[in-house]
Amino acid sequence: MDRRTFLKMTGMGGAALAAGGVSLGYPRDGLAAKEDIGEIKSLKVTVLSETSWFNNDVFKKNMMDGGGAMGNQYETAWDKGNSGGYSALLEIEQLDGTKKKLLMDTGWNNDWMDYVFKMHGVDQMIKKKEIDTMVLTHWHLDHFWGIESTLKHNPAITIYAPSTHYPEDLKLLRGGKFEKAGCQNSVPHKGKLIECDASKVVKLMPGVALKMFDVPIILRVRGENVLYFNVKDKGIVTVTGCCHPGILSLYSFARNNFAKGDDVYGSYGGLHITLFETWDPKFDDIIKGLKAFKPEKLACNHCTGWLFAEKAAAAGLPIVKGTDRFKSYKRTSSVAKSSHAFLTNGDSVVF
Amino acid sequence: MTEKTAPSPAGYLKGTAVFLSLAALNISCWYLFFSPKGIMRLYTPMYGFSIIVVLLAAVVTFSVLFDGWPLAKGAGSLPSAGRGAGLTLLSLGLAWFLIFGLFYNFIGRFGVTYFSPAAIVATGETGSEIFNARENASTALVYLFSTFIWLALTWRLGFRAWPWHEERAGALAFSRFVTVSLFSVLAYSVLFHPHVGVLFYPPQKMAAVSPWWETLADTNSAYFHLGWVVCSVAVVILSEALWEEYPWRLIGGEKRQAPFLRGVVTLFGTVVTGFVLFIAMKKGMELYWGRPFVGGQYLDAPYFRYLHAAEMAGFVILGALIVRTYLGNLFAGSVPLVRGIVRTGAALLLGALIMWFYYAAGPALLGTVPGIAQPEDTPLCWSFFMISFILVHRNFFGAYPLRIDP
Repeated sequence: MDRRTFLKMTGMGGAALAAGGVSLGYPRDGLAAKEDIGEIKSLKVTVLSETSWFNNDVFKKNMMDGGGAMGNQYETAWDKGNSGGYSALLEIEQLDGTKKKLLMDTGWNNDWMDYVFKMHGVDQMIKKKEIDTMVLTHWHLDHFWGIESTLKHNPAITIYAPSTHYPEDLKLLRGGKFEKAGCQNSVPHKGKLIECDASKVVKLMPGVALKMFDVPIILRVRGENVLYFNVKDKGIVTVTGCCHPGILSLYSFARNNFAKGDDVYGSYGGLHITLFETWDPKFDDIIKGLKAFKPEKLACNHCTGWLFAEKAAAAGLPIVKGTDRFKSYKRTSSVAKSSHAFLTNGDSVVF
Repeated sequence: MTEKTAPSPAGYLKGTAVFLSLAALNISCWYLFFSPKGIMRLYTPMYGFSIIVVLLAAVVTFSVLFDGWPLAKGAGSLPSAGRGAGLTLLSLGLAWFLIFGLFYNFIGRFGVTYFSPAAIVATGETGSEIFNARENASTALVYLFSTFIWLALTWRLGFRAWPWHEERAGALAFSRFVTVSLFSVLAYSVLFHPHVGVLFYPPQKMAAVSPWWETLADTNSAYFHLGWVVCSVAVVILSEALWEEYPWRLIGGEKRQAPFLRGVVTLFGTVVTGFVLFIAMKKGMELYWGRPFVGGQYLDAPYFRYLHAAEMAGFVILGALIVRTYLGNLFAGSVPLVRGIVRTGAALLLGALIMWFYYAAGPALLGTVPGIAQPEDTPLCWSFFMISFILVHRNFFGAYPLRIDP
């Protein structure tokens, strides 16, 4: 009797829940054989915007009034003046020297994202189809609701997104408006929407893979796309929007499923740890676990929270510091005093 | 229904109907007060969780420690509905007083800051805004009152009325309450206070030691302790509700001599048995999900595995209380061991069914997010709420319209 059969027979776990259509998450079998995703020469990430909102207290009050962490983001009255957005430009150099650009996420507030895209010339890159693909990491407001800022330059852009969307997400994507939440998109998406599910790894190009992790996330969202890069002579680099599945789970997935996946080089993106400037004993666990993987470059920001970045750096982890570039933006976060703790708006990092 | 008289088929149907009615009432109240899709939306999550845990502690206080005092049966001419309503109101009042009076506005303001959201905010320290503050204060209350519930139930099973068995009901009630409170504070300070001390930045090292269980549990989170504590509560409930207090009743014989020895053995026995159950659940999860690792999150997190053990124990407790209260403990024949095994099997099956219900129907009925290991959701919250309803129904209202001997 194998272990799955045993568990089904007990009736306490998989069988009963599976019968009711409840996902038990992933059994730790992983993929059958380790997958070779190829290699790239280098990856440059430019932080277009990591300030999803400018004042934590206002955001938290909106969230609390809207039903707390499990409330529906489309039924919450968000303070529009507090919204910004998360987006990054990824520039990939292949082993043969060819270069490819990807847009990761499209922010929240269209006015802010128009400003950010223009500042970095991303609007023209989309219009000229230098960027023809956007990877939507997940359906959270601060990563997705600024979709009009992207589609207005190319409604036919190809989008990779988690398959775990709600009807409201597709309504907004196809041109819709949510009065209470204060979001709208007047440019319907006309291109390919490639829905990523948790069952397989999608190879975007040699050395670049996309994996969806089907995890429950706050504000009723589910599932996050994670980008894996295999940089020649360096190792695996993860690029995330918020990293809700957990950075160590991402590293563990690479180790279990990718050829040379043991060789973790680093990460870029939000790590979803101390975004609300509060600590928890389990965050100390993450620092300890990260040290065991010995990453060489941790370029975190956004929902990582400056508290974690500072504590992790103090513990000896290679956190990439930010610069004063964020001051060139017309608006800064209310916690900008600590912006040097990690990469912030306008900064870039090369892996 | 009593454990000595098995119900007829009609009795099972009636018991099931009564339980389903109670569950419908519970889900309605959940929608009104806690559901993220409901009216008041208090399940944020820790704020709502703390209200429920303190409410359960108040219900346990009046039913288990006070034996219904000051409205105990036979104390006057109160009809059962009046007695039930009175004890329910007393429990609600006690919970309200404990949270918003004693902890938020007295202990928190004049003693231990972290018990009061307002006092935390007043410090002006990093992250001390009202949302974090309320969640952190609520976390501390959840831990403290979970400890109280555990020790109150264990005391009642082990020591019963000792050493105040010859005192009047009021003296017995207060003596047990104060004693259990004292031991709860001691246990909380060792098991959970170090976790709460790290909820702030910088960590409160001069007030709380670093979590001492880290190397043992592969996590700094006190969910490790919450896991085995709730498993121990499950063993206590199983012993009392389904096993007719075996094996603990064997100590001191039928005349119940040596109450101190029985109490001590029961305390340690239920802790050891609870820990074995806890480890068994942990191993079961490892069989399916693989081994968790330090720093992992969601299913990979050691702290989630410990919390999930508590969550499954919560469903088992619900199953046990349903078998005892609404299914008349199934049957009365055979030897105690067989009776206990059959009833426990039924409780486990019911627990599994309720767990399925929670994860499958929770998003639609309870407003939760689909999936397991959502950090903002713990089924313990709803299961404790349902347990409160069953205890109120059974202990305060005599399980009306069923006839049981609570």
